[in-house]
Amino acid sequence: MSPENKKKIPSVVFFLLVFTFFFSIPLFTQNFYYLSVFTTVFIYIIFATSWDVFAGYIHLMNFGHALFVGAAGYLTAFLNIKYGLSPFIILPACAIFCGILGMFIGLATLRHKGPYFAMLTIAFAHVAHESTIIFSSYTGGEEGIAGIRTLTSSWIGDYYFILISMALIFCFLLLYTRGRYGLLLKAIDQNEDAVLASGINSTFIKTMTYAISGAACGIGGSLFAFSLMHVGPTSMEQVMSTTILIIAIVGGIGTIVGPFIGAIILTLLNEVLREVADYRLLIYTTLVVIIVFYAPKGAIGFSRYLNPMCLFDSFGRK
Amino acid sequence: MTYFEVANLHKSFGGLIAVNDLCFKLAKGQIVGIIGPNGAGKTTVFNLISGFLQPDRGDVLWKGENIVGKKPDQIANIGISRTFQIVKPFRDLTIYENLKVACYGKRFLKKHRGDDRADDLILKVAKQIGLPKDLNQLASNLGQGELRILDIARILITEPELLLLDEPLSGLSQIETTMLLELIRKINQDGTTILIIEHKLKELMRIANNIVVIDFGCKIAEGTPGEVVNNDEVKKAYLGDKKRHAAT
Repeated sequence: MSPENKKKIPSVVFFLLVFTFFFSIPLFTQNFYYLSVFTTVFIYIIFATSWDVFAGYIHLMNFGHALFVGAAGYLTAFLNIKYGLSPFIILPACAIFCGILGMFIGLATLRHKGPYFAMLTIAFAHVAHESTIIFSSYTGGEEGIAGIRTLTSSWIGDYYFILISMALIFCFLLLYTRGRYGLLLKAIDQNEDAVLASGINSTFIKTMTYAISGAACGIGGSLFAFSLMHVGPTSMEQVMSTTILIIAIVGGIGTIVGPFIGAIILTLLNEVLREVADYRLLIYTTLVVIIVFYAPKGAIGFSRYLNPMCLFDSFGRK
Repeated sequence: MTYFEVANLHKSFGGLIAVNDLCFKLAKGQIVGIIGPNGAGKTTVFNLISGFLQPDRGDVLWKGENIVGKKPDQIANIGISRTFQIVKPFRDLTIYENLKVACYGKRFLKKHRGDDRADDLILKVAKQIGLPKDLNQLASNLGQGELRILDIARILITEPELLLLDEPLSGLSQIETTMLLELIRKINQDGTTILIIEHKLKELMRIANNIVVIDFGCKIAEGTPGEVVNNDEVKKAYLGDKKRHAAT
């Protein structure tokens, strides 16, 4: 076994343990509240990791990721309520729709850099958000659309459906970024001219990755709508985009594993702090400030100092 | 059919003419130098040839085909690769990863479809060019000279037919300069045509077959190194006009 593969063993063991824990939760409790909290964790993992595959690797701040959440949510409502289609058709449809949406937005925005790109992503999400209000006869306006059927006939079925979807997306994104395209994305981030001079079409790679980011988030957005049985303009609000971004930053951008951990920490923390509702936002944002100051590489960067086994070395190098 | 030709190439930025109807040719297997004072437009010429800038008018002919309008990656994939005046390595990647990036270019993938030679080629080029043995160290640990060599190594992986080197000797020590000159000669002997911008004229004269001199975007002289150094226009461009100095 090569030294590189030996290094990966602790990380693989860690994720096997985490996923074993997730899969075994319904064996210990069938409490709706606990299951729905973990379902939310899984959905936010999809949102944050799908954000990270593009924005985290290329360091182009996408402040409008909620666009894909909302677009997929409305498509889910439309296909499920109007045509009664099953999730097995709706989820791929949402992935394709949001992938194409991502490709077009990518083509329109990726020639811009830094704050200009960020502003354009905000603008696209805002246009979509406002459209849901303007075209209220189709979208239900402020109230949104209710009456989406559940994924399966039981809560536990829904739990496993979302968990398996998350696991598949997470593995796909991990493989995507640990292979050829991850290397090229890092290279594009550091020096796009040198990538071009090596004969690589960087625009194609960026656009394709943005489409993949959109498609993955589209699946998450559809699962989100199914789990809430409702979709509304709030799913496209700036708050949603910012939440996704904070989760990724707290976890550690450009690693995929970081946003995975960030989503677990912040979504669970959000629930724990419900007990102290008045101070929740204060504690939440203070934690974000502390992490940004003392662990600029996010929780995954911080974990290196704590863990002598360098658990995440083979996953999060940046 | 000319191997490579630049014909009436023109580029201006607002009111400033950076390249003014420039013409020159390259024969296969040559080493041709482009020299000129600072701001003469040498790097702009490279940017126009390699597709990083589009000319206002004029042609760049590669084996008879006009390549103006092609994008930088397309130009690299037809066999014209370039390095940059300011080294552009991927600092947070390892030396191996820096070289591996070039293995994902279309030209490389087309040439090596079906074989598994990428790693062998990386090791071969790294050894040939004199990169540190430990390819797993980050590029950010390398010195200026090694970074420049790494830049050239990455381009060599794409197996170019025409190599554009933009001031490859700048910032190098004497030993590194000698090594790199030997390397450039070796690359040329292996069949790669080389167009090179360089300020270290003594060193350039040792390896170039032909020199093109540019000043204010115009070609002021062309010929063998011996002819160029004795050209009055070239002397004026580098040392100034004696009469004008006397008058002032």
